[in-house]
Amino acid sequence: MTDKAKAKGDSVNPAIPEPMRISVGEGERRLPVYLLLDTSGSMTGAPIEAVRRGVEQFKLDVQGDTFALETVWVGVITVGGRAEFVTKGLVPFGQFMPPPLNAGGQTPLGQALWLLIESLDKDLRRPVKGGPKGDWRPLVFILTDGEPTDDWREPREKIVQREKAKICKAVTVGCGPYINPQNLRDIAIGETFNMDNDSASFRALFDWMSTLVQSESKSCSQTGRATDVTLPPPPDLIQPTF
Amino acid sequence: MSYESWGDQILGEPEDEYPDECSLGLTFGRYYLVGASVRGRMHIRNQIPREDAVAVYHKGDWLTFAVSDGVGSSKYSRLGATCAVNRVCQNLHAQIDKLTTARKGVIPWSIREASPKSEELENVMIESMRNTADNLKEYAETLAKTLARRENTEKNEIACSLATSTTQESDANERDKQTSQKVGSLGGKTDLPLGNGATPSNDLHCTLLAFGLNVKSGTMAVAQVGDGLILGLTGDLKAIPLIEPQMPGQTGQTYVITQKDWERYSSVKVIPREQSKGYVTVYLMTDGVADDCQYGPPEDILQRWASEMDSEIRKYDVETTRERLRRYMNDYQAKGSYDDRTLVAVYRRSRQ
Repeated sequence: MTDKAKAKGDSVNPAIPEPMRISVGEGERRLPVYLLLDTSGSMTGAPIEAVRRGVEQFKLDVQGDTFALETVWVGVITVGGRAEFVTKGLVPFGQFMPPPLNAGGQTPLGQALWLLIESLDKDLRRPVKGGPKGDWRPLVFILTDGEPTDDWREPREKIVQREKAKICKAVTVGCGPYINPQNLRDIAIGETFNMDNDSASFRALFDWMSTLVQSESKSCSQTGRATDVTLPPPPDLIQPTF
Repeated sequence: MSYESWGDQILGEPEDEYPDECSLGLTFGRYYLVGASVRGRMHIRNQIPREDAVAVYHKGDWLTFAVSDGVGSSKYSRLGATCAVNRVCQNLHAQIDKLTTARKGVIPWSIREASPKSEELENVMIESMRNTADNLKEYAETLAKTLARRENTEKNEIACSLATSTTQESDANERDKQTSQKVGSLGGKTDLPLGNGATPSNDLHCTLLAFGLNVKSGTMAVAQVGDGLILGLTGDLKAIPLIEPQMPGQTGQTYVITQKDWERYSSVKVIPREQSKGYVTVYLMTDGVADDCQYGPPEDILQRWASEMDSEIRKYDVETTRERLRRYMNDYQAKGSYDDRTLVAVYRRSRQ
């Protein structure tokens, strides 16, 4: 014969003994965010200054979000003269210092994409039972003047394949009033937008990027997902490219 | 004889109050069951309700229980989760009853039976999961109708108020336009029916982990769709996942019982009594707990967690353990652990 005792209730029982002590895993699940920033000659003057301010604002905005701060790791690759991984890989957001940015030289987008591929393949953690938790799908923001000067097609194709395989989620933004729409369409990885290169547009762009990162970190931290999360709509100054 | 049940109730409407937590402490013959489901840190911060659910049912020799994680990207996933855990337990008992009746009153898989019919029990589990998926579809349709009806009522009320407040004659088109604008500005109350025209079940997306235990024979049956963990602990304190669920490649995504092709991603297993004797404790948990006990460092975290939890739940009587577990689930700290947490442990009184 089965006996049963229903025991429910929320009242605090002062007689409850010491709390349970149980080990939990110490690993963390990161949300990697890559910023590929065009720092070529075409960005000289006000545009590069706007990008610099935008990155600083991005730092302040995301830093103010506790959950994003705990989750986001950031990597910055500059695309000007030569491509450089200025953060030397992914760094915890709390340790991220906006790098000094100077515009000059050509636009080696292909080199920058190779650096990104290397990091995606080397730095991303896959989940292993007993090992690391595995990273959330990285966000990749590509800011370009739309006039790459090296061979970018092969690395682009490799990143597009990774995007399709849901290894990363990319957003491409072409900046400048004279951007060639066909070039931008050819370069595009993931959802693609264009904008002007005035300071208001850059401010809107980095505000939106902060929102995307916070929204993604919130969504990751909240629970599992059955479907892909769509991007929050961009502000008016950032136009989708069709 | 009807069953007894504990845990979260099925929510009838989105506005129904859903408690922030639920805890359980029960005794069934030589088995104890303790469980807790609590709201995650991110849910509290974002002022969204708990989206996990737990249910326990008992009838005759059979104890069934289930946990479910409503996915965050689906609007009414907590409703889906409460429906899933209750229906799967009910369906399991119904299937067991059906089989029992078909055998003319002979209780299947009892301890007196020489060889438990694993394939029959596996079919019971599969059929119960199928029926639960169907129940969720029906539930989604009912909910969609309720919400659509409510939307129409609100539209009509607004139209009436516009009609009576308009002092000058306005044509019907203009009034319709105003109604549509006003309804559109009402926000949450006038959300489109479930799924916005897509499969209604989309808004109820939830995982499902179900467990059936014959408390006399010890025979177990388990089923899982989506993330979470069903873990057995042996007498010599080895932690062994009872099922390896299929998972999508991408971290953070999960399969759900509410998706069309859920059956492709479901796993079902029967553990006959000869094997089940080896397990002294079984844990069912949603990913909010599973993520904290499966991934290191340290490398042996799963073993440690399962044996330490086993030791803690055996220290005191079941009521005290229920309260200790409830507090622990609310309070323990783990890096990046923001999600709802739900854990049920069923254990034999004696480790022998």
